[in-house]
This record gives sequence, structure tokens and C-alpha cells, in this order.
Amino acid sequence: MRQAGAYSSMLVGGVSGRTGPHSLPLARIKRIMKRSSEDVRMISAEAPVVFSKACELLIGVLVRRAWAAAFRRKRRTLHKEDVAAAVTNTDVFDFLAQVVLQQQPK
Amino acid sequence: MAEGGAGKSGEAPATVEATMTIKKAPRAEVEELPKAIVRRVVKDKLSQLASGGEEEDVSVQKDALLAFSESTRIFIHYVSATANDICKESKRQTINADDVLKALEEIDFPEFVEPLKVALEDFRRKNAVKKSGSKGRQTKKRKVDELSTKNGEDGGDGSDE
Repeated sequence: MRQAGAYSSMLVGGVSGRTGPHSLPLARIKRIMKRSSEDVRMISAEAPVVFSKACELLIGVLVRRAWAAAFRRKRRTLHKEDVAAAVTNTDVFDFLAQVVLQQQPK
Repeated sequence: MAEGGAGKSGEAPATVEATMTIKKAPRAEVEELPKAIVRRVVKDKLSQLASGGEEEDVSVQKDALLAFSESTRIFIHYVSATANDICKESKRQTINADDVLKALEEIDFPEFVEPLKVALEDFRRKNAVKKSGSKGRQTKKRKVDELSTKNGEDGGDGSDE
């Protein structure tokens, strides 16, 4: 990962966070990306940028569905169980099943 | 709201240094996304949903926020692993934007691709402007780019050293 080390500084110094006033930090996204597989080597500067926006989109879908779940239960506060319901009810969110299971229901 | 879980330290710290240590996000194995930003994205989406009257003051419980945050992190993991595979299949060393887009299609999020392409174009445009400006910082792909006449179209060939 020698090259990745040198590249990291280039990313942090080079690519500005011009993804919007409240976007996810690119450096942290890149670190998470690196942990996803043992053999992740280099990551282009554009990849975290795409992820930043992709995460916003994901949150958008999750929020909408969780809100629908809360709405069905006549609540105006999103609870974790609403997120859990959103995950359970949506096929493409199968990979998130572990997230809502880990958190123990009260 | 403090980031990094500093809000959890209910007991009075013995020294100032202890406080400072707790304040810094603990460098655990798990790299989390900043809570404040996740919360802001969630709130933004909620206000978009609430175009009517009563839904406007939807609030979010802390554990729901954590669930959103965790979900996003797992999402990055999952898509990255997929993108990494796609990248390796093409015998390249560098995961590029296109790998990520293909990965999203593969895991059944094709509806994300178009808006992401738009965002990517926007980013590229802004970066191109920066390159020709006086900033002269190293941008994504090139070490020496002032004299280069190419406008960065070498499409992710793994030359990102």
C-alpha cells in the first residue's frame, strides 16, 4: 500500500471537497472503501466523490421508507424500528439486514 | 451536538487532557461517518418529503440516526467490494468512478446511476476550471498538468499514482 500512502496525501491536499456544503468527507469515504476488501489498492479521486452523492441518494431512499413506516404508525419521530421496517420491506436492502439486527430492540 | 460520541461522557473528567482525549473520535477499527453530516442529510430529505403542513416537524431519534449512519457505511463497504472486483476483472489497479457506477447497477441500484453521472460531470467541470486557474494544485490524475494539453480524458487507466 506504499503508493496508496502517497496517494492519500494527494487526495487530501488535491481534491477539494467541492461536493457541496454538507457532503460526506471524501477522505473518510476513501478509508471506508479501503477496508472493504483486503486487496483494495488505489482509488481514483473521483470514486469517493461518486460515493458521497450515492450515499446521499441511499439515505434519501432509506429516509423516505422509514418515514412511511413511522407515518403508518402515526408517529412524527423516526425510530430505529422504522429504519428496520424500511430495510426488511425492501429487497435491495438485504445487505443492510445486519445493521438493524445488531441494534437490540428496546 | 458533539461528534465522536463525546456526549456520552457523563462523568466529570479528572483532567482537562482526559476530556480532550474523549473528545477526539476514538480510532477504533470501525470508521464511522460524521454524525452531524448524516443528520443534516437526513433532515434535508425529510424536509423534501414534508411538502405539506403537519409533516414538517418530523424529528429523528438518535438510534435511528445511528442506523442511517451504519447503513451508509455498510453501503460503501458493499459497493466498494463490488467495484473492486469489477476493477480487478478489467486488470486495473485503480478503482475509478465507472467501477462504482457499474457496481451500483450490479447490486440493483440502477436508478442511482443517472444522477450520479450528472454529479460526476459537475465535479469534472469544476475540476477542469480549477486546473486552468491559478491554483496549480495537484488534481486527480496528473503530477504535471500545467503544460498538458489533454483535458484528463485518459479514462481511468490506472495511472493514479
